[in-house]
Amino acid sequence: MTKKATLLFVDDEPMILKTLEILFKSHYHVYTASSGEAALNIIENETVHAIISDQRMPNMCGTTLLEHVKKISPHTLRLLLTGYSESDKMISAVNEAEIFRYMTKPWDFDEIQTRVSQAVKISQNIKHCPAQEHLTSINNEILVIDDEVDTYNMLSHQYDSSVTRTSTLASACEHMTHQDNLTVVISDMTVNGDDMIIPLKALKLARPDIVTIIVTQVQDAQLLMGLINQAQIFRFLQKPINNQILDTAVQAAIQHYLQMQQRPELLACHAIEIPRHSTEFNTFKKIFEKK
Amino acid sequence: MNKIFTNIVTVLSVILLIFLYQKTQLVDTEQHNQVISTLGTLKQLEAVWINQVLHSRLALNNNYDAMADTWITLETTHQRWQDFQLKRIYGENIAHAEYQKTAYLAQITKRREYIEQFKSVNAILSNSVRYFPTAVSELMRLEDTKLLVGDVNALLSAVLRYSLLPEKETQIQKLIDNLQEKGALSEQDIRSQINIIASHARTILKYRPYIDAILEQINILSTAQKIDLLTTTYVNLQDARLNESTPYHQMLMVFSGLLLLLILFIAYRLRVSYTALNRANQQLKTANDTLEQRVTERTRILSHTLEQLKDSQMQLVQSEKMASLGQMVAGLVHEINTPLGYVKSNIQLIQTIFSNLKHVLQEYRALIVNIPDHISNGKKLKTQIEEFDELKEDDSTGEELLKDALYGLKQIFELVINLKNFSRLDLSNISKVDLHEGLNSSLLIAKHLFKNKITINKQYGDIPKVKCAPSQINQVFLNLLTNAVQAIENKGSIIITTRVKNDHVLVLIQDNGKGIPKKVLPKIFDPFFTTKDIGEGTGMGLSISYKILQEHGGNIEVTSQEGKGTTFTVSLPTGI
Amino acid sequence: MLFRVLICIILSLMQNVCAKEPITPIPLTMDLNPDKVALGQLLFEDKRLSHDNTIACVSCHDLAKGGTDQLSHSIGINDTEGDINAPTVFNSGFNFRQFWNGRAATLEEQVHGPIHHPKEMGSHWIEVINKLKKDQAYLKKFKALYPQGIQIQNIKEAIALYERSLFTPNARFDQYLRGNHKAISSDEKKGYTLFKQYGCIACHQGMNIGGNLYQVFGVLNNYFEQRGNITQADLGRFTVTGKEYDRYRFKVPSLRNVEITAPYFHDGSAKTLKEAVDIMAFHQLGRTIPEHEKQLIVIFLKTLTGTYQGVLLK
Repeated sequence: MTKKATLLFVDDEPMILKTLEILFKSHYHVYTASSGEAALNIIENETVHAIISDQRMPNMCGTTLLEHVKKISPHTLRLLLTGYSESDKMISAVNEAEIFRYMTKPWDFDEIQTRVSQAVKISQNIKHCPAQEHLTSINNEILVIDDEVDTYNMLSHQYDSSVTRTSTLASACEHMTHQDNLTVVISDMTVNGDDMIIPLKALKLARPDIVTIIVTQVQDAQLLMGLINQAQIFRFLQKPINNQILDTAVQAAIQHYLQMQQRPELLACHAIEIPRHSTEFNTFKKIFEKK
Repeated sequence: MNKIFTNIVTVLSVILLIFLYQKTQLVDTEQHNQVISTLGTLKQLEAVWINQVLHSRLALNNNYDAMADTWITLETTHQRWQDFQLKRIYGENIAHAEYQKTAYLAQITKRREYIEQFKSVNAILSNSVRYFPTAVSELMRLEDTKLLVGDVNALLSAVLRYSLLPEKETQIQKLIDNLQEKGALSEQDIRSQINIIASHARTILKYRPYIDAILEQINILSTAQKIDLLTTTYVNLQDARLNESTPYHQMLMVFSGLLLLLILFIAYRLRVSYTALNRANQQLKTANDTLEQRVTERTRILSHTLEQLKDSQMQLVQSEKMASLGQMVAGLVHEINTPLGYVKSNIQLIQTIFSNLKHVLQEYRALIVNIPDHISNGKKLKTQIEEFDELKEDDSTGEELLKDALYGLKQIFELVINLKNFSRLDLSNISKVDLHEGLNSSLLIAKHLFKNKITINKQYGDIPKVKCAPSQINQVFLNLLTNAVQAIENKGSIIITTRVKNDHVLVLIQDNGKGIPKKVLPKIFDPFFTTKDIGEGTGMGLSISYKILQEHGGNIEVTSQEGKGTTFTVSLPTGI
Repeated sequence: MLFRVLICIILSLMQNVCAKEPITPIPLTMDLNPDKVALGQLLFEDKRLSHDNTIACVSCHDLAKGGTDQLSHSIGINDTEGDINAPTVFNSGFNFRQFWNGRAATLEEQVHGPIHHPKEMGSHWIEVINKLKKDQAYLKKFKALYPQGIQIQNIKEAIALYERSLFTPNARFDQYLRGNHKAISSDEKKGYTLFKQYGCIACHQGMNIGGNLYQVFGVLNNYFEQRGNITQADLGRFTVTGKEYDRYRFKVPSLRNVEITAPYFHDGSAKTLKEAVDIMAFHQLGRTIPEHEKQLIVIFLKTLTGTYQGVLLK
């Protein structure tokens, strides 16, 4: 590699920008911006492989910035580096900005470096081609993992027999390993008292093509961070759920799935960070990889 | 005499009531709304109708069925309007509205006539325009027409342009005459075809301005304004009616209110007099027996209430403190973490640079051995390196200092995390949890604290699963267990009891340690309150526990006796 | 030149916009109260509606004769010859107005006309109602359907409902419009194309192929001057509005079942379809149509004959 990859750091605190620039400038071409507007200006004029932004900034917050970046420059991977995690902002970071990693201050140097270099590598492999307008396919199956039937009922009106619901961890795993045309998994965080988060993380590692949507009552910043970094969930929806919101999310998920089918290099955008010291994760991983 | 008077009053009241009721029934809002909505429909239908006319003019409509249907709907709507009993709805004073209505109907009838004219003329005009190019090409197909090509084409383009754009007629008239003149000497068939062309051209000349005039008339005769005026008139009439009936309405309300009061009063009086005697006897009989008993009962209830009041006041203050702290912390954490971020990173960086520097110096030392003293500054260099080595030997070398700084930062960070957990307004992962499992795992974690000095006595009852966030509840258990262990100075025991009370599950953690002094007991749930030495605890443990339980809709209480021990009671609702 | 190209483009665009056929098929079924329709039929066929009990509605609107009497002018009571040609009762419910000059807005309103016309039924409502009230069967039937019994409004409604039930769906041309391209032959298709090209379609359009606008008889060449002997009936809508503009203006008649409703026009002057096409081409369109093309238009017109109660009209 002769040409250095390009990074863009955004933060309203100049000291942070200075430090980050020193940390990364030896291996990357580094841009810094102290506001969302300045960052967008750079994004519009330069090829940037990864953008790392603060959340709380005056005028334009990080999530909004990244949402714009997603539209202007889809191949730029988006990371948040924030001092305080508010769960509603995190939800929009998932749903609107579709971010790659969520990181907190103060950061661990090795960790931030690993995440950034992974993002850059992925970005370099994405071909610069515009997203397909609208793709259609018939065999899209949807799996709903939920104790409650509301979500399933709403979907079964629309998608009829291609939706199945399960309310146990065991049968969910069964479906996820054996269902051939599984496109979208819609899950609560727990089902029948069993945790679904770790299985979903493992599923994303084994089958990055399956799009996951979380539909839940729980709103917890810590858990959400895990779901972003380690499960790369596509949408996070709050119960009680509204029919239209659900439908929009599922439509978007199917479109996303089809996009990835057409351009497999996009699958790498959902590379997860493997949870450390989790035997449970490894067990589920083995189950899903059997297929 | 009195009886007759009462009867008269009753009859008069009923008459007044009926009169007022009748007066308030004047206003028929529903019918009025129907009238207004009928007018709205008319306006809308007319707009549709005119739109259809324009579509036909532009040949976007290829038949007149839709227009005819719209008129039929308009007529039925007119009929509906006629069928309203307007006098009943608006009273006798509707002459003006009737006049406006007649004017409207006259105008729409006129407008309709123009629309019928439009249909006729449009059919003729569009037919001639459509046929015209064909007629020209039919002429061209005949023999010996070459001489006419120029004139015919000029006419064709002029006419087609004319059919779409407002242009001068005289020129076309000239072109027609010109063509007929030139063709006058030709064969019979050519002449007759030219005549056909001429007659269609004249038709277009005649009817295009005609149709424009009709369309203008149709436009001028727009009835929308008339309908709006009518709507206003009806609304005003309705308002007048409302105003008329409002005082009656109010009167009716007041009057019926008074009647009701009167009836209530009478009923009350009746009941009072009926029971008074009875009760007086009873009271007299029992007063002596129960007086003493009632006094003590009252006193007991009163003191209990007072206690409860104090209690809830304290709880209110406590939760108020927690909430405002939570909000403050949320902002604070972000502010602290930002500088913490770069300070930590910078120090790590300096550490790296420092160790690199050390490495370089070592290399120098290896090299300097070989440098003879007499070479310029050789001696000086040696001395400098030795000085640095000495510095290294010292306890407080730069490296150590950096390490300490990092340690300090880590402590700040931990405090921040603690604060963050505390201020976390959201509940994590709620599920149905077996509290015994939680207690057991907490005991397992705290095991190293017990060593050999403490025995655990589990008195688990039969309790249902509880809907809660297990990680948070376990944090509470762990906290309470740690506190219990720290309260026991030598040997002791901890009793853990679980049971159900009403719709709550109770967990009691009881130690026989040193107890908590009465003075500090009310403060123990305050944030940053600690009895431990500085550095041993953050003073956040119990206040976090308190907050967690508040968020779960539960509670935590403490009873303590100095020297004998402390009991913490955690209660959680059994849930839905 | 450029302008002409532009015009051609505009015209062809318009053609595209109008790709939808200007004629639409008659619905296959209609939802009408069958009991009232039956009562209406009784009244329609009842001669007591005329002064001397000789003429019923059906006398001049014979279903076996295409809903007309196939006479130039109808014959009323006392063998009086009327002033005008009786239009067909078939599909009259689809017309936007009634009578040749459109003086009645609805079929209900129309009923009044012939009953009172001295040259038609020569009666009046009081007479009619008195006669009907003597008939026990009528009393019973009316009572069952109308709470107020025998009344003008109810007689009108029953007759009008029966007339609305006289619609003729499923003509071969309607089958073609509904997508059955084999329903009409290629010559008939050519005839339809000519019908549109010559401009007949400008007035004869919509579901009833006419019956939804007024038009002057003699747009490009004066018809009445040539025919002579102008009567009151020839004045058309002028007799209704009194406006010069409406002189010689008539309701454009429906071409449905035109094959079996000869003679044609309000004066019944054209005995055959070919004659009628000739007159129309000359006076309305200002041109003559070559013989073979006229033939094609006529055979197209014959595809417009529909069915009543499932049987093709004759």
